[in-house]
Amino acid sequence: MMQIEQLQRRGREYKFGFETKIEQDTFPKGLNEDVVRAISKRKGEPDFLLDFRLKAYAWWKEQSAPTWAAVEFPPIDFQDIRYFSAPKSMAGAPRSLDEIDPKLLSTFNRLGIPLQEHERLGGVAVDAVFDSVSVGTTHQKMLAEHGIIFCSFSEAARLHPELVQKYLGCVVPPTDNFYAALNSAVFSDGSFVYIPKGVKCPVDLSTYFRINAEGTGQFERTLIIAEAGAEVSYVEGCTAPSRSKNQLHAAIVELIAFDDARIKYATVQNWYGGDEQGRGGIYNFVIKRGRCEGARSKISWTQVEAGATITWKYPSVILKGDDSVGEFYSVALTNNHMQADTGTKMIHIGKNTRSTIVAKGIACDQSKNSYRGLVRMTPGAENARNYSQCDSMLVGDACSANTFPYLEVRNPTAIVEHEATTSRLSADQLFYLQSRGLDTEGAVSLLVNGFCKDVFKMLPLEFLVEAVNMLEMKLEHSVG
Amino acid sequence: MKTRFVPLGDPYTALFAACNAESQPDWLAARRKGAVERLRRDGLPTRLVEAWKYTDISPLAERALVLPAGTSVRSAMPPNVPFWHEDDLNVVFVDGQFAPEWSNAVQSSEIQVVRLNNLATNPETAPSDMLASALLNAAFRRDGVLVRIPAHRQLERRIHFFLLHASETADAVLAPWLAVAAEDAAEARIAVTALSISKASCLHVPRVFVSAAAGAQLVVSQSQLMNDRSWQLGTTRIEQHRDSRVTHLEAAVGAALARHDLAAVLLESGAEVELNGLYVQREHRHVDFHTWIEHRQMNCRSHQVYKGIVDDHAAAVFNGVVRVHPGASGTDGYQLNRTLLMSREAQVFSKPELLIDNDDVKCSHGATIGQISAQELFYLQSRGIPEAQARHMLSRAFVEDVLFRQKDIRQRADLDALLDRCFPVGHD
Repeated sequence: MMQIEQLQRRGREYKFGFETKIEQDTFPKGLNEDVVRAISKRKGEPDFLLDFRLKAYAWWKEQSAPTWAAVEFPPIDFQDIRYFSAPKSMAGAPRSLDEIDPKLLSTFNRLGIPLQEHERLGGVAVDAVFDSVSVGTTHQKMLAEHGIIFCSFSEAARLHPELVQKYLGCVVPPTDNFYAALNSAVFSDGSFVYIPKGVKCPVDLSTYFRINAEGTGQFERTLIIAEAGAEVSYVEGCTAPSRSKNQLHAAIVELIAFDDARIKYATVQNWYGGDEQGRGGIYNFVIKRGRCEGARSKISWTQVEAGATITWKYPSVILKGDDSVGEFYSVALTNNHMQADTGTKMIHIGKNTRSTIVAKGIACDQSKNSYRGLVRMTPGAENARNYSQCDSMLVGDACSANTFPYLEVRNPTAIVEHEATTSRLSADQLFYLQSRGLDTEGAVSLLVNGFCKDVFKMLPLEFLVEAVNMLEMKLEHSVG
Repeated sequence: MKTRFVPLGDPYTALFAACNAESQPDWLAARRKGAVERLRRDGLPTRLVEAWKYTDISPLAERALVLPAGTSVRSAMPPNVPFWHEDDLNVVFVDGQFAPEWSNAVQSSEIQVVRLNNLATNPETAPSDMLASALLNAAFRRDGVLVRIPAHRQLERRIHFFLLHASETADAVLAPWLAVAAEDAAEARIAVTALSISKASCLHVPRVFVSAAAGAQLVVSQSQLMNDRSWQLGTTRIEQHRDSRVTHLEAAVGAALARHDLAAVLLESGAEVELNGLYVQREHRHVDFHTWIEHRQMNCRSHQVYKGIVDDHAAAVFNGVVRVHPGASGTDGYQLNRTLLMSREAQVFSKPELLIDNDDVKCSHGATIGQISAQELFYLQSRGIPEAQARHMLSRAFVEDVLFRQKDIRQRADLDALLDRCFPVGHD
């Protein structure tokens, strides 16, 4: 309770805006082949990874940044970004949690991710990523007993190169698009998860991303492989210091599910979203894509997007295996001058594939919130089904809400249904709740919670509490 | 390397010059000059341009288009032309040129018919439409007609614009322009029919402009019955003032490739617009409907239902946008697109969009793509109706409910007859 009261007192202030003063080892600004080589060398990567990076970089050089999204920002100077930054104390070999710089541990404690406690208490296994490196992963030993690999990407590249080589880039190829190539060339760290055949991961796995250094970009890479019959639930959270200069975050998340495997991926994204005048904040350009490779596999994306100046991402599922299932549940809240162009892609290839899309957008203040989603039924998608529901809520008269669904059907047995509504917070409902004694904020929060319920119920419990608090904080003073 | 635009081939230069050489009012010369410059500079869009994502018109750039030669239709109207009614107020274009001898509307005292060359100013006051189809019309436009409906006039007879394609020359380019200005509280029914009576290919780029002044009430229908070799790239702009009401229905059953960009702009408060569409696409046809409804002021209402059937190798595209400006409080917008996909080779693309910059709105849209319900089919078969016929009944019923919204009884009867041809009883 104390914590909630504290949160409330802080109001809409971004409580994760602090900066950790720690000695950083940072590359100079700019991107060229040498920087790519240096990153690879620094991480002691096998040759195939360096090749992978160089090829991606060569392709990226020839491309220009895409501009089609319904978001506005000045062109990014990719030579004005530092592509690698790590706490000095992390140099050298990986260590156990006990040896982690206490300053780093206390940073994660302030963020509500007490790594040491997690190690002892169980419940969730955490991989904490600080700028370009992973600073610690909990529960590794217990997970290893089940044959589960959960470690930082760099560690995976060293210890399990065969798995990395086999699966890296097989869902999001380096030449997929501009930002995919950029990430493939300079990706720093991220999490690697491998769940062997028939294993149900006993705890939720989690990654926490923290951007700390100024002028750096964060380019993490996450790869989750669920072998036949495996199951895993994965959650990720993100924060960054409040700075007046924009920072780029261009990550890639790849999921592969084989026969009967299930992957549940939840994100609570709370990057710094800029101040009330729209200064500063993170550009969150992330590629998330899952591939239901095997029959009866299932990939489920749940996201609560409440931060970042600009959010531009479409967690997608390629439904290749017969009878596979894809799900996308999303709440995107924008306030101040934030802009979001987010949604999903469901590509149906296999027979009897099913997908569900539930997207809720809330736009406040002067923000801009767009849903963009593709549902594609390829000729082989016999009896495939999709249902999409996109609702937008407008809070305040200066915000905008856009809906751009793309439905493409090339199979006569497929059924696609799409529904969308846009309206404001109902004055009747507000009045009713107030007449029953709720104050305005309480009434708004109740209505917004109800509006987002379909998505919230898909979140793991710990994250549900965090998500609800986060939305309430952001909504305060928006209405009234 | 894929490009967003392809340059126009050489034959275009001579064509533009030929169109420009004919006598024309100054405003048209200026508009044509702008359009030609733009087309020369950009060329034609490829599928990399978002607005043309599902319809590829870039092959036009290399087509050797020609201006149509004179035809025999000018002396005698062929018999049994569908949708032709002697007692309508007819305004006939043959191969993009106004044909006064067939247009009884010129003798009417109820309305005023003004030919393009006699118009001192452009009735289209809005900023020029930069879509490729509209540019092609402006570049190739050789004739046109403005029909003015005086204030408070309630027209008994329907105004029927007949856009006939009669030229036997292949690849003729036809670019008629027609405008309707309904003055305050005028009421009228307007039909626009694009029809091939020739079997040759053509490029038809008609431009329709409708303005409804305060309190005007218009029922507009547009039908496209071009032949299977022809392309039609049409643009329509409807402008509505205070408390006006426009009900629009479009039907498309022809053309190898047809694209229609229909914009309804609600300029003043209280305006209402209803857009309905029905399409039956077979063989290798490709049809693309782009609608754009703009709510500029308070308390306007828009309602949109497009339903279609896509069979054989055909493809259908629907891209509808409802745009609500910041000042347009009290907006009520609805949009629905439903398609039946009947064959393995057919394709459907649906893209209903909402762009909303005001919080006091009630907007929704829906889209479905599916097939005939197996249950309904089974029920009809259990009552002794053969499967093929049951399919025809159900698919016809699927599109027919759009017709019930049509207030122009004559148009409804014409379209009904057309559907009879599309879904013959006993066909298998």
